Amino acid sequence: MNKSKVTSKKVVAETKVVNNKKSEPIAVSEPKKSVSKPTTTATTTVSKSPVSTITTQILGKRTKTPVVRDEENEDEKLDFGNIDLNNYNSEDDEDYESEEDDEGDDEEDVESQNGSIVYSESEEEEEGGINKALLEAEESLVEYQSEDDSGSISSKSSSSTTTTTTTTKKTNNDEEEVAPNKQWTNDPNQFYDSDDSSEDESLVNRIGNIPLEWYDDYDHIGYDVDGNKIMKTESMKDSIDKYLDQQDPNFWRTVYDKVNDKKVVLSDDDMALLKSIQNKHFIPGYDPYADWYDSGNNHPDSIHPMHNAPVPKRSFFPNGTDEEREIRRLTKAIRMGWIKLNKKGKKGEKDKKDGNFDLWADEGEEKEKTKGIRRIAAPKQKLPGNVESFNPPEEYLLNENELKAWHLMDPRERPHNFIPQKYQSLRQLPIYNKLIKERFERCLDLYLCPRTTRVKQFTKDPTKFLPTLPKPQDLRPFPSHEEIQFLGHKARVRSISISPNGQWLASGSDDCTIKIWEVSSTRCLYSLEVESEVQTVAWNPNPIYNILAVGYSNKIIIITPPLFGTQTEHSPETEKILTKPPTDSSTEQQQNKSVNWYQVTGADKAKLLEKGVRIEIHHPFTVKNLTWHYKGDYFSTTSPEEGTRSVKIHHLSKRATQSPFRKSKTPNQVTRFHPNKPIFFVADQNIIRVYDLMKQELIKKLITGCRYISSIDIHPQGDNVIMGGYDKKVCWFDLDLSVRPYKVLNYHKMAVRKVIYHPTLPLFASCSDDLSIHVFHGMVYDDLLQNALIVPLKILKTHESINDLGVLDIVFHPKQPWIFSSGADSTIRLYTN
Amino acid sequence: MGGIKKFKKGEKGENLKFITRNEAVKKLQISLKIFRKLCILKGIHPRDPKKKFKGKHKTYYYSKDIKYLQNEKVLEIIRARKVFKDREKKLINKKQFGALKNLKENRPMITLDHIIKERYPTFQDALKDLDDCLSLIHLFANMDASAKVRENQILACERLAREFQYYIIQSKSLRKVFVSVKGVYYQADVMGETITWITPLNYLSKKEKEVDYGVMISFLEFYQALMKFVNYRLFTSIGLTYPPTIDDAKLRKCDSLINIFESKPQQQTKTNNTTKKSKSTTAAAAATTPVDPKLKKLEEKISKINSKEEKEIKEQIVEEDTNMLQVNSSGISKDFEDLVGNESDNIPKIMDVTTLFKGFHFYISREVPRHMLEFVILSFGGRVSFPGSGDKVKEVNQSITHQIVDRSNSVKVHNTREYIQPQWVFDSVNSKLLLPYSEYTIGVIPPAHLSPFVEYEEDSYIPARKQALDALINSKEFADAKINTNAEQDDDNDNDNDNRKQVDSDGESDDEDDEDLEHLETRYTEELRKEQSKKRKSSEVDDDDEEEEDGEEDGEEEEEEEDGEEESESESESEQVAKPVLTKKQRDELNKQKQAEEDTKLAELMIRKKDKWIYNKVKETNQQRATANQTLLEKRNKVESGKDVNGNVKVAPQPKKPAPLVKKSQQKQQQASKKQKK
Repeated sequence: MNKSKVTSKKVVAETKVVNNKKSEPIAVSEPKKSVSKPTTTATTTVSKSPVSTITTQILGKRTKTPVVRDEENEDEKLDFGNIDLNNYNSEDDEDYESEEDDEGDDEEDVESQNGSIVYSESEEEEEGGINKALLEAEESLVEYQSEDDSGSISSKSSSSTTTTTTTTKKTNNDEEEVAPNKQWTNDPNQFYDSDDSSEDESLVNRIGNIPLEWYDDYDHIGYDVDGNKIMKTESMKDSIDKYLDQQDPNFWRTVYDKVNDKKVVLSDDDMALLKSIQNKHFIPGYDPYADWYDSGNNHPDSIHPMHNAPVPKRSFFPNGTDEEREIRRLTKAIRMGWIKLNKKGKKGEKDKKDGNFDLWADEGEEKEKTKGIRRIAAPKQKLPGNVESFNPPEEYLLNENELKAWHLMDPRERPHNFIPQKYQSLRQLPIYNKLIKERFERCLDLYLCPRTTRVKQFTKDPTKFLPTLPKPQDLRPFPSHEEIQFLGHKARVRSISISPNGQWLASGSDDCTIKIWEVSSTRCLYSLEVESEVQTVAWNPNPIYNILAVGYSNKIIIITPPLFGTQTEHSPETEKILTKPPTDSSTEQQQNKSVNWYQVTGADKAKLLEKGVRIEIHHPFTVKNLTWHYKGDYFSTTSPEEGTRSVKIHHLSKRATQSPFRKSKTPNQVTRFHPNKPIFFVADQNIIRVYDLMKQELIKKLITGCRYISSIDIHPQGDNVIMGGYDKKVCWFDLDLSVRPYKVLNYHKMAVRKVIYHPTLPLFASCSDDLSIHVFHGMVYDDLLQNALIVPLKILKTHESINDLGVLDIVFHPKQPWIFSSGADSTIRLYTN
Repeated sequence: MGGIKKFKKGEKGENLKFITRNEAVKKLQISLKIFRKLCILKGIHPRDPKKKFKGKHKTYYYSKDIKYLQNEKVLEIIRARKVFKDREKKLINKKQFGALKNLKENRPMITLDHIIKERYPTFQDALKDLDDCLSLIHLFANMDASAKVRENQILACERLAREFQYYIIQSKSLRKVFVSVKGVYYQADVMGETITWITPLNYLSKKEKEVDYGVMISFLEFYQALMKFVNYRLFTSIGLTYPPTIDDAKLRKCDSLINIFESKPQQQTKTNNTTKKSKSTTAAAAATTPVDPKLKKLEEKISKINSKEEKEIKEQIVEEDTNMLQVNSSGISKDFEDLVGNESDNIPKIMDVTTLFKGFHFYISREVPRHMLEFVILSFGGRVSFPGSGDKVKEVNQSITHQIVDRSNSVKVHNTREYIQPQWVFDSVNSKLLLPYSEYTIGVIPPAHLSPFVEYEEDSYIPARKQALDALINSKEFADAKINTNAEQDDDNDNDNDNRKQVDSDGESDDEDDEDLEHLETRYTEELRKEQSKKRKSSEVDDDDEEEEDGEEDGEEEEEEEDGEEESESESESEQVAKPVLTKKQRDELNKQKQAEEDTKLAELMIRKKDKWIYNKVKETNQQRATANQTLLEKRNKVESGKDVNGNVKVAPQPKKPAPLVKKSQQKQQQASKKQKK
């Protein structure tokens, strides 16, 4: 009975939850109404029928609903029809949780919890079978009291809070009492119903499940529902009373109820039950051979349409024997060949298997372009030419030389991988077994060669790639052909220089002579023999002086060449600058002891004096390079062997020498003065440094990318620099643009020896060991935005090569578009326009 | 939504697109061998990434390719096969042969149709990529079975090759043939796609040592599958059933290409039963043309087995087949035959290419490689017989119009037919006209066999034979246009049966009126040739002259002013005279040229680094081509002057009889043209 009550409550709770948001009070009131109906059967049906109908609706399995419907309660039934079926199951659990938390609905909480317990018990029993039910019944007898406790408490408390429920209970109890001898059925709840009734009856003490020893010292054993003490009766009895009790004829069937401190006399039914259990008989009234009624999971009495219990483990295991046997049978049949697995399929299938069907049958259908990877189709093989013919035209056959060459060639470089042969008839054509290998190689190419797509430029005209340049003819004048040769040197001419007025050409050679030539007549007017090879000659660029500086071994000599026979021809400025200043000399010399100035005087050097040698400057190392400042008072020398102090600046009028760089890491090769500013260019092997002489600081560092600089030159306007290197490069720098080359020209085939600018015309030239002198038009615009225009004009190639040395030095005429060159063939040549 | 997502190294970018081979193999968890095979089947090829992140000397694959490979069906099957092999081994060791047999029936088989569909979404795509496929299949079809190459594979290849050839014959899509030292190249035009393939001329029995046959067989597997689908499509496209029933016995006996195919066009077999009942009987009675012996056999068998009524029906079918055979191989009536014989030598016709040999019956001698010739002749509409062929046409058969011989000492027995060397067939096919037989008869060294694949450009070297052929073609075109006017000439030859005699008579029996003119013309042409050859020697660079007759005729008029008879002297004189003129006139030009050269030289200095490479390359190739042409010309001059390539005088130059004949034929045309002009 307890069960039925609980179910009704449960439904109430659930409906409440479902309709929670809509109308709580109504939902609550409805079950109350149903519960308050006088007949208990009515309530049960009310509570069950909707549930059962719902379950049928949900599961659609069960055919019969073993519940009698009461017509009176159809209204309520309809109400339950509102329950959202989908939410019904899922919200079960939530119900409990939420209601446990909610203290306001105390009565319903208790009931629902209790209900759940009961439900689970019934569940167990259902599955466990009859034996278990019997066992439990025994248990319930043994632990009679404790079970009673909880039951009684719950019922009492509920009755205290709501009168309606208590009335139902009472009616329930009444019912029990009315029909005590009801038949045993298959309903597993029947025991509980009966037990509950007895519990309800005897349950008075409400102390709950606490140790009874706590009440040992008191007179009372606990409290009833109203809070009144329940006084001890039995336990207070002394041994005499107990003895007296034994006199009672029912004593043998009297049991002591500890909790209530009462004595209970077992009824005849109870005794019969116990007796049958003891004798291992069925419970009296139980029909063990009743028709089996499989409730399944959806027992009509179950309160939920689907149960909530976890799926038992056994349901995951195959149902043993039958399946195994079947498998065994089949495997044997297969093994023995009774069952043939792959019978020959239908005709269509066979065709499909053999590939006899149209693979591209659905070709016409427009398909979405699959996101395939773009494959690059393999290039087709080259088709054979006339050479491959078995009977080629005779000119395609290889002659003896070609045959030899063919055999010597690397197989990969051969124009064709066979020797062309001519056969007079097809019959004579032999087997070509290499075809297998060729096909194999093609196969390898197909799957091992990386493929890329390239835009191939089909062109036979290479001039398409040439840059368009202004025609050289439009850029005249420039030196275009050789006019004069200056012959007289016996060894290579290392250095040449032209006087500022363009009249004289000085040359220094490896035959240890310095010669001065008249340009117009090609006559050698002056020759001076020195101790060793002449490294460098340089005219003073200032036209008011008539001074030539010559560097050889570790000496520099300053000459005023007596070109017209007497020294009186020399300008007074020359004399003035060459006279030794009386003072300061000592201090200067102290500054740099390594360099010594000597005035050429005395009888022993009369010869030299005669030749116009005025000053000797002794260096510690070989002087390789000499450059004048445009004003003619300073000149700088480099002697790369000296290392860190290779650069020296000499002051002619003061006869002083400075070495401005003390800590240059790499030996400096070439120096140049800026044509009109106090700026100094120093080039070491691969970097050109630009210094401001006034501020004594580094302005720029030009990164050439060249490995070994041979020479540099500064444009007359001073903003552009060209550089030539031994690694065949010629670079043009625009100082305003960048520290990197504006243009790198890579046209020389051998080391570049010298690069120079024309002092007045927009020309520059470079010479190299490949015997060529390249003359360029190098126009520098005043407009800063316009880059310099570089146009190749002429390649002059008349020198001869000796010991892989070509043209060693070039120099432009100061006014004319002429260029002088000196070469290893000991000639000096003049090219004119 | 948060900032920009930061990627770790190797999470994004170009380097993820590519994967090295080793990485790929690791990712797929397969061996390198299987990886290779998969690559072959799937057509996956290495890529060439711009930046090689993982080393310069590694092979890179597209990582998407490898990703797709991971889900490849074939890969699964390969794995299954591995398991299968283990099981097989186990069963063998246990000696459970019954189980083994059952296991073998379930051997996982690799199917490639999905891969083919994926690689070639359309049929045209497949055709585009058929070159290598055909070459390899034909190669294997002509190879010897060994441990590495199984016999059934070779047979399958042979079958596929024959099927394809059969299609080519039926669809008449062969275009070019080229016999090279390596093998025979065929070019066909299949559904608008040009397909070229090579077949070995002979049977290759030796094995190459440096060849990995495994790789080739992997390719072959794929190609076989592809070929099958392609053949299916091709066969069905011309109304044939596929697979055709091939008589294996005949295939083994190397029977005629057509004979081995039992299948007939579907449409025709359909019509067989319905129509021509009455006709068939008459046709059977009047069947003078040789009947397929196989069909005869069939007939006999049927007659034995079946009742008379049935027999009748069968007969009909057979006769239909014979009719069809007539259509295919064009049975020739005797009257027509004569016509064919007559029009042969003098005026070759330019015809529709596919029907070049229509009406011809070729008899292929024993020494001639038969398959090749048979294939070519059949695909150009001819009919073929050979010793031992199924149709049992004897060498003496009157219907034979041409006999192909390849022996210089064989004798002409029959006057009714042309004796030609096999090269005639190829050259005729390539030049799309029937060339004069005289150049290819017995005992004659045939003219050079040129590659039909070469495209001659302005600056390329043109061999003399090509020029001659071009001239011939031009003249044919001209002759075709004017064929009516020249018809009289042909009438003379109609009665002659002996073609040899025809040739001779052609030279002799020309009309007297024309003789003088001809004589003049021959002289002219000879002079012209000499002049041209000299010009070539003097200035080989500008070699624009071709021996086209129109050009010659134009040239004649100009040069007629000079004395034609004093050939060499006048030439040298003229040169001497010309020199001062040249110096005066051309000085400026020379200077200009020099100037231009210099300009380019200077411009080269300023060329951009990027362009420099390609510029040099182009220049180099031009140079190479020029030198190659130069050497060829030099050699040709030597050869023309009667020496061999090495400059030695030939020991025994065989008499070139046909040469004047050719000239005569040319002269005739010239004559005709002159007549026309007049």
